[in-house]
Amino acid sequence: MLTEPEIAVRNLCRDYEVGGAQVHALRGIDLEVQSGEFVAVVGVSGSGKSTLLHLIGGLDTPTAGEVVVSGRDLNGLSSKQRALFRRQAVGFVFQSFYLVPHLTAEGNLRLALTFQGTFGERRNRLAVEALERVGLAERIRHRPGQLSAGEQQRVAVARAIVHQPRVLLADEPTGNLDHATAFRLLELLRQIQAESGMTIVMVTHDEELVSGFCDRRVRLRDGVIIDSISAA
Amino acid sequence: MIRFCQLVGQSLLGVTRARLRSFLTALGIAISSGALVSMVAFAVGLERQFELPIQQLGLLNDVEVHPGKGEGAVLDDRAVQQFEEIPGVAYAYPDFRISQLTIACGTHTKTTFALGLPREASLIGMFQDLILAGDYFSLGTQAEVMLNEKSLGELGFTSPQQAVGQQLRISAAGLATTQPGQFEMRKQELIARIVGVYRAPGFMEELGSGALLLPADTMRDLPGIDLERTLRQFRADGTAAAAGFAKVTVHADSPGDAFRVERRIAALGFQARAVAGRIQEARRVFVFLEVLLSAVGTVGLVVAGLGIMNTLLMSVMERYQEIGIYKAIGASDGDVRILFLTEAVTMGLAGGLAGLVLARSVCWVLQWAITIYATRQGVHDVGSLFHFPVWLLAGAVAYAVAVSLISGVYPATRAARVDPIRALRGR
Repeated sequence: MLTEPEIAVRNLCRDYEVGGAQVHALRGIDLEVQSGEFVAVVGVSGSGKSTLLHLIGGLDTPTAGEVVVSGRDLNGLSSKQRALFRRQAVGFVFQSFYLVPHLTAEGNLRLALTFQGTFGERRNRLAVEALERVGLAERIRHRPGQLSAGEQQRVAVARAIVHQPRVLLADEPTGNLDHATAFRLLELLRQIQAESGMTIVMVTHDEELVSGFCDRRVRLRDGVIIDSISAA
Repeated sequence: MIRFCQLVGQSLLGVTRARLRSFLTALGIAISSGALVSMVAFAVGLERQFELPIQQLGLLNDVEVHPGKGEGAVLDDRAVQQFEEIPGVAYAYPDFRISQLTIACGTHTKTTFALGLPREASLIGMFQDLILAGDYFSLGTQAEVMLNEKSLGELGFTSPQQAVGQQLRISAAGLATTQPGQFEMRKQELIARIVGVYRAPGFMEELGSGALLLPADTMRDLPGIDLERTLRQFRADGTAAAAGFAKVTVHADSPGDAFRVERRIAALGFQARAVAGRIQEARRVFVFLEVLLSAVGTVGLVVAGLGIMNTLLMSVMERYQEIGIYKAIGASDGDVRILFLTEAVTMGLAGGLAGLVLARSVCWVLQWAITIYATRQGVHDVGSLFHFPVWLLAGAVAYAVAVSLISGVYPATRAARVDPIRALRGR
């Protein structure tokens, strides 16, 4: 029996205008990601990986094509509806962590939960549980500046999963980490995926590092998917 | 609502991040708001100095009535009774005054000016605010007087309390009417009890000069009370118009009633004018002064508002990427707008409240300095030059908040429109 994919991208195009010149970041991408799948999108810088991720996450709007995530068609959604979609359906992890520097690890998670409409004791409990889940139970009162790069990225992962989204989108999450730390982070993502059945789409240029963790590898070049290889 | 409150709480953290900048911006609001409050408090203080004695004496309710030009418009006892029967009139009394009266207490004597007031005024609490010791006249027929505090020393009293209950010998001499067209010089002595001591309000020249107050019914029997009327009778050869009182004061139940009563009395053929109407002109000047000073103060507040706008725009630029993060983790444009507007309102509220403290402090120092200067120049009892009614305090804070809110709209809108992709890429 065929099941609906968690993420369905059809004929997706995204054009930018840079200095008066038209740049075609994505040129008719078709991609389906099944529920619970861990997909790595690989490619060189400028191949359109991050643009694809931002479109799936509702941060950006396509020039043409269709994006359906968890049964929700993102086309035609207003800015407010896309904000609602982001706070309910997806979690983001970025290369530069993007933690709010003046807030503690717990504060960063509480902020995300505030935007998502969770308050009071439940908010505090969810924040602490998410930090415990990424192994930072002892560091919840620390600010980003007091944490190592690996720990900061774990806080970012905790923030992305604290509201238990169905889809986790990671944009070069290991880009600022050394090899050993990056390896541990990928292990963590794999563990979260296994425990929760979350769908993960991860953008990276480090194909070798990710190959042992993902279910499928999709390679992009110049805004086009050139191959899609499932793990053995 | 909970979400809104949580966002407001989150926003307060933003204000405390750039403490010095937020403090300086709020200080700008505080200074301009304080200047606005001080200036308006000064205008209100002046107005109050002008109006307070009028209010304390209940003059806003008074209608001054003079004889009419017609044959029947004579201000006599019948007319006074007629006025008292008009709905909305508390009481009416003829204007009795004696320019020279000798009063004595023991071995101390003094000549003074005397005014007659109705006993009924006690029923509506009129004059109460001016009494330093004792009470107003009783409703009986006893011979009673009220002393001005300025007369205490000359009559040998060291305090208002000491004078109350003492007997005062009053000697009056003057022309008295025996029958229409005939007069005689008469002297009369009267022993009256001092029932109270009062302090004349500022700007009330007659009372302020130390006038002795007597009940109108006691005073009407004294010779010399109607010197003006007597002189008019001399001149007019006993015509009907000259036969009555020179002036009657009609006290209405409220200032609003005073205007209705004024019209009713005028319809009877008398010349009537409500005191409230006479001070309208003066009020207009004070309103103009308040508006002018408010406008000057507003300029400062608007400049401070630009300071808030500048601070928030800098904050938007500095936190450009952070706004992108907020949006990536679920904040809507409206959420971001609330965050920045709350920062604006917080600075405005803090500045507005600090402005009140600043204004009170500056006005206190100014009052102190002016009082010392005036005293050295021989001017005593300067009174309170600044007045801070609740509407001014609340209005100033609300105004500061409103200016801040308006100033925050543009930065908040810019923040709300931040494209998360561009922000996260650091462009």
